[in-house]
Amino acid sequence: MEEQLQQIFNSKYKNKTLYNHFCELYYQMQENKYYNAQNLADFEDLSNFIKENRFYHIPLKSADDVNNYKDNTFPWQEYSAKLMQLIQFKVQQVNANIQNFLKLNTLLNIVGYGFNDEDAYIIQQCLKQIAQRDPNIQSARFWGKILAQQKDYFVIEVTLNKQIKEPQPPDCDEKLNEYVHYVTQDLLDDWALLPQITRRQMEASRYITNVFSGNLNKNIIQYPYFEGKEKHLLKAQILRITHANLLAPRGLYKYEDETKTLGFEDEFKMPESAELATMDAWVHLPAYILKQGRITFYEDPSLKEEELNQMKETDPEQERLKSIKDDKPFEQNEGNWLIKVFGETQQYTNQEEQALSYQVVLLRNYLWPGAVTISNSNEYLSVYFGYGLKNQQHSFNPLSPKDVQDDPEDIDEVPEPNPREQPDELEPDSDDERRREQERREAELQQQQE
Amino acid sequence: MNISFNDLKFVHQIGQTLNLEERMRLQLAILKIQEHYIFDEVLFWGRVEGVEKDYYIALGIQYKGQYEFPLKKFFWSSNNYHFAELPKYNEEFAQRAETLREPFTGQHEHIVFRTDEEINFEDSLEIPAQLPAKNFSELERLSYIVQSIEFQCASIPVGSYRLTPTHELIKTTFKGVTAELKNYQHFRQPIRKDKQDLIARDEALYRPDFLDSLVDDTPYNQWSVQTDSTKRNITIRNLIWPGYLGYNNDYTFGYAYFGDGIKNSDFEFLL
Repeated sequence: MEEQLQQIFNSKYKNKTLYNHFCELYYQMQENKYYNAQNLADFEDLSNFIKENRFYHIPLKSADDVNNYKDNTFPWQEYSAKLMQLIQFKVQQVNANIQNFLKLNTLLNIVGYGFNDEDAYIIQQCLKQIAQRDPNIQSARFWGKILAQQKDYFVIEVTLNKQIKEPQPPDCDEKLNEYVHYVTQDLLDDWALLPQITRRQMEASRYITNVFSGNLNKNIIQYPYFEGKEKHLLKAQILRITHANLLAPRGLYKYEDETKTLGFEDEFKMPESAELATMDAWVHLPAYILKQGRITFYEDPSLKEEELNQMKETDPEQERLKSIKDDKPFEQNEGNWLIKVFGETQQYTNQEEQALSYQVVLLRNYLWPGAVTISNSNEYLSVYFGYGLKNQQHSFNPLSPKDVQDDPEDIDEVPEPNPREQPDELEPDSDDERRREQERREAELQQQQE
Repeated sequence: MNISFNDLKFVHQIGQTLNLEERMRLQLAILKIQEHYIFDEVLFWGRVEGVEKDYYIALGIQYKGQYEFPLKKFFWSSNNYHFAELPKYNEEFAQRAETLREPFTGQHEHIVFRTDEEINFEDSLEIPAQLPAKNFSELERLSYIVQSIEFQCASIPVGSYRLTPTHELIKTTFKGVTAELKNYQHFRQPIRKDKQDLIARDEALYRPDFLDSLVDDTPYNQWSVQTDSTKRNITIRNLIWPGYLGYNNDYTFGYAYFGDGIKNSDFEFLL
């Protein structure tokens, strides 16, 4: 016992033994006439006071720090684990054409958009993972980011070899759902497939302006009524943006009218950057979406031919691979696209006496702010960063709801027939009836008399 | 945002960034501001995109010697990276400028509104000189927008600054906050009564949240607080001024604006 006590007393606390500390404490208690220790807490206070003033004080960690230590580090551990898993993901065999997003991101950075290298690397890994998931995938590209109120969406666009046949109402267009999208809110989590949308949903989405909340299953409460949840609206907006903004250099693709297929041109050489900086050099790759919500016009068999023709005129289809020069101009600008040149704009000549420039061309869409296409003389890409809204030049004017139905006209009131009361005398309708009534009354009177 | 631009990775959340040329030239240009003015801190405030050229805005803050709130001074530059002070704007037209939806052209002399006022002198013996009407130029629009954004959006996390007993603001060691809206406050002189009272009573010296809180901002839901995969990098965005981004993690905090300078006036209809 004695030894243990000695040991405790000699334990050191920052070069001061416990024994010495007790001596100090006792001394202070004696010295200070006003010191009145009522409980252990006061004693502890004095002890701390002495420690602070003798400069051998270690401040205690606050309760927050100690209790939340696990909360603080646990997310970091999760993050590191997921990241490690993603980086080590080995791709077996991929028969798809995947965009080299890591390299294209450096292009994006030159024009002032894009991610940092780490995120770009993670996105590249995600692209590979998704290509692995479905053997039907023909090509995959990073579509962009849709910002939302609570949590943003990252979107990857994928084209398939064979379309998945989902049961859909007959007025829907398969071609509309040609591009398939995967969405996630956290790059290290799983990617979710967005559902295919119907014609009605596409039609309705044109009239709605809505900032996404971040919850895929949220009900959309807007006028006009949108039948679907946030994931349907998200898909519709993504499709609209793709069909309006995905560009390709002129001459890369060719469109066969008879077979209605898109194919690669036989000989294609990427034009020089100087040429790329004009609107002539670019065409829209996907088809134009009609106001009806389809790509080809739907002839509703229940409507009459005149109505159909009228609808067709207000909703004309547009030719495939249309040049962007013919886009409807936005306000006072010439055309819908702003073209800017970044980077090294110096013209060089290479060994074959051809003009060479390392500049990067940026095409920005006025109508969809946030949609950009960039290119240099080797590669090009289109992305979208934004809230998914069109550029509203005029104040938002909600659609007025339909007129409320009027009340029906009132029916004339008549008193309710009551068997105890005799009904009021009514005028007989015709002469015949008058005669018959009179004869009946005379017959009754005669009977009563008898 | 600090001009070392280490924090640009937060801005990548909205998909914007500064390329190498911009970063290098901005660093030099912002340091150059220090030659003529004395500030405690000179920060990069943001980039307002225009059709032809962009505007870069820098902010100089003076803490010492300022009572209750530090002095802020804004500087602007176009693509030539030569900073000049942002001028005052004409009050009457400034309100209209807030709801303009046209993009900035990039030319700062571009006239946004014509004032149609002529300044006539009273009959005097000399021939009255008629001053040319001073129209509301794009530079004034920029000035108004920048100051509006600063007033309505600029936010810092709770616990980043403290009020000294002499009512000066100083930066404290910052340990990070959890990702909730109540942990952020406006970086401006408090206008709400409860915070003003707090400061008048000197209670603000002991509290970390003595500036206007973001929670009381109307319309509600205009702020979006998000964390990234690590859950320690928090960004806070405003939906009425899309392009504004405040950020913090356990070591740093800051804010910046990367956008086109147009207010989202329809915000109330969009949710």
